[in-house]
Amino acid sequence: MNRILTAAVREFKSTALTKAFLFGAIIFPLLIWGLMIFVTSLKFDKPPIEGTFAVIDRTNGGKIGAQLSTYFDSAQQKQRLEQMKAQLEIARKMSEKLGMGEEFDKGAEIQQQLFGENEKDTVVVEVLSPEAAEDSQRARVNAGEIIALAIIDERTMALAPEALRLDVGDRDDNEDARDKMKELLEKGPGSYAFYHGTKLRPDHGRQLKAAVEQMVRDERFRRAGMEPNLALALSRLPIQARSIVITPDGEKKSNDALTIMLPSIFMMLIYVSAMTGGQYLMMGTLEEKSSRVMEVILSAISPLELLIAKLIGQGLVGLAVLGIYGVLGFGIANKFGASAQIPMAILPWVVLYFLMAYTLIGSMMLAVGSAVTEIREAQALYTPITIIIILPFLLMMPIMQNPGGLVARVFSYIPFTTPYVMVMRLAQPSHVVPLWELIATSIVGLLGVAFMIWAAAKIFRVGVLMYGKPPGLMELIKWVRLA
Amino acid sequence: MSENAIVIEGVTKRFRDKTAVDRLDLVVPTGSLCGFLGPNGAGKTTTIRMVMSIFFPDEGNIRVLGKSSAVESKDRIGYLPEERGVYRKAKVAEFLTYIARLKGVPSHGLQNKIDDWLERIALPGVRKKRCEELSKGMQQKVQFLAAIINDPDLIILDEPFSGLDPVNARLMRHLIEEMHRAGKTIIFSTHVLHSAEQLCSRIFMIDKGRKILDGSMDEIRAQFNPKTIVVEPTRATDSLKESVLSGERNGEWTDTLRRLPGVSNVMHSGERGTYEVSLDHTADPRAVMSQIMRDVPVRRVELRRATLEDVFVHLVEPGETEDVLRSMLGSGGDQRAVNADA
Repeated sequence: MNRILTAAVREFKSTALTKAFLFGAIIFPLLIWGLMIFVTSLKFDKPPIEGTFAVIDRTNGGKIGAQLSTYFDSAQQKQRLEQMKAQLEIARKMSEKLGMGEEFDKGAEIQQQLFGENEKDTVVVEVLSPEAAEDSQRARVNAGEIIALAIIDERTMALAPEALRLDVGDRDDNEDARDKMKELLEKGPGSYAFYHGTKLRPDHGRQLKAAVEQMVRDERFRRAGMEPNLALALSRLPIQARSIVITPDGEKKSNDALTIMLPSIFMMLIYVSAMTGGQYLMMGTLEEKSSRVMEVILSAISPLELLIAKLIGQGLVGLAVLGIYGVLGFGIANKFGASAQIPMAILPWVVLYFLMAYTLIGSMMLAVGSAVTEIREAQALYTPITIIIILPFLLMMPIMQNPGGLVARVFSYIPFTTPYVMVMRLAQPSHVVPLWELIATSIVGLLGVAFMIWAAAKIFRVGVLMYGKPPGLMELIKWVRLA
Repeated sequence: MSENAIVIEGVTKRFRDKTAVDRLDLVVPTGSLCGFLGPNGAGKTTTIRMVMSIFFPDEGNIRVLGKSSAVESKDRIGYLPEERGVYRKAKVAEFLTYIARLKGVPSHGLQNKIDDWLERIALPGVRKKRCEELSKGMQQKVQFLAAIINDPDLIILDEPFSGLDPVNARLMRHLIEEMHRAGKTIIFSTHVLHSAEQLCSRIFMIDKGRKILDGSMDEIRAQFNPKTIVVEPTRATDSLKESVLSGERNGEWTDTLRRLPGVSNVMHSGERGTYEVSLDHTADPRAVMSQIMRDVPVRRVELRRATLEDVFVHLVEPGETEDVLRSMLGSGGDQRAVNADA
């Protein structure tokens, strides 16, 4: 027992106390976190738009051009900005009340800085006659006299629902249909031309186009006999489902943005920590073998003891990773006021599933590491493991879509996927895993773990002192059966 | 303490269709210093690994330090494997501490012990160096230290001299002798027969998994007793007249020597102008030598002592191992040592 402890401690220390690990597992995530904070604290500086925006308005009545002129005059602009400020203020107060801290605030502010209007914007709209020659106007764009040119006509306006129906027919000449589709999308109903020079900033361009589009939309409302402002305001009124799931244990809220992510977050957490421990197991064993220190160690400790010590030592490394990322994740959630959404009750299960996932991957890695002498040779044996490793990712979507479905339930009983599938099912707030299933899958999973350790021990025992030609998968299976 | 440190009885080990060790019997008396010899692939390392319970025999029994398995007395055994290495990134003292702790050495006073030993193997001041910074020979000594850091009663060294320069090989020999004097049982395998000859009180030799020699150094010398006489005649240029008178052509003495009673064979030796005269086992070497001195003008006549190398080369000659052995050991030989039942 003492020997196992000594070896396990060494295994842990030689991994967790190296610069590479400290950097990879601790400093790197912290760095990312720090970078995020740094980026969000940056002031985004968008210069005001200055210049002439020419518009050729060929719509019936020619109201768009006129509306645009008004839109960009300073009085209207000022009013809009004040409105925006008032809205931001309301949002800030709401977030304060919800205890979401200043991060929310920051987000809205950045959004405003990035995409919003600037009080120094001075756009002069030049409405040209509908008959104006496009070519000469385009030349003005090219010369930099005007910053952009928009050409709007009835086609832009024509948005009877029929216009959207694509009359491409059932003919076989698909090429023709595709061309038609393309043209329809590019020049069809609702489109307009927007010419600009190379110097126009993309965000400025977006702002000008947004203005044009708003005018077009307003005009459509007006033509349909609606008051544009009212229509807009009505379409913006919030509508939200209060999604509540009724479970045998009572009612729970469901479908928050975070809770949708939770299953995959927990799965990744387990995956990353199990893989970290597993990788170190393979590399460590391989190194001990290739540096020929293995037999020196084996003169003091039996192969089985060493295997167990390694599993314990790297398991602690994996747990450390799990802890670090878990705490980090909780910290991030807390900062966004979402920590209450984390289902604390499943955390003990998360630890259990981590241990299951880790031991399964770890014993496979140990077997591979002990069977070969060089990392190159490990590649061939690693392939079957890779398939097992990517399985959880392939299963992510179907299980999140239907956590009680056949796929989810079947893979809950396959030891390699049990921990991942079960943690995804448990973390889904709208899904309840029956207790008997929790117990049954755990038993299956643990049996799988026991089998893998047993098989790995057999391979390990033969492999650790075997040098020379690397064995194939079939040979490993033979070792398990014969040893 | 039991009388024998290691007892191997009828042990067989097969790897797939290859038999690495074949019905081996071996006894290592407590306190002896034994050399374990044999050609490459003879089964030495496999035998040692079975003694260490790293492999398990397919048949037969092994008792180590009175226990049925080395696992039960691992802390009392020091083992330097043939495939040996160090943790490249670990510092020397860390590595030694780890191995010592694994072997159950209490941590109290361990660091002093490590320093003392590093001093004794002429590596003072390396405790803080990384193992990868050491030369191969230095690493070898550190590995040796790792094997004996737990002050074991039984020390098994697989090829302890390989990779050592003459100075370090001598240091290693002194250390082994010292430990032998301190009453430890030591068994080592080697190809350096010279070292084995100088050190060992007892020799085992195996070939193709079978024991072909087992006895004390003196017994072995006696068995392979002087059956070769080295003769260096005076050269033709030294005394042309003499050689012409004796009727021999250009200093060629092979026929003369061969005709002598008790001589079974005559060969040119590697040395220019000298002959190796083999005797049949009934011959009296002294009589043959005086005969040679009468018949041949000699510069040197020498009764050669059988070196371990001769024994080795003769014994493991492929194909004729058994015949040679029988003829060499003759009637007075130790029959137990011969695998006559094969």
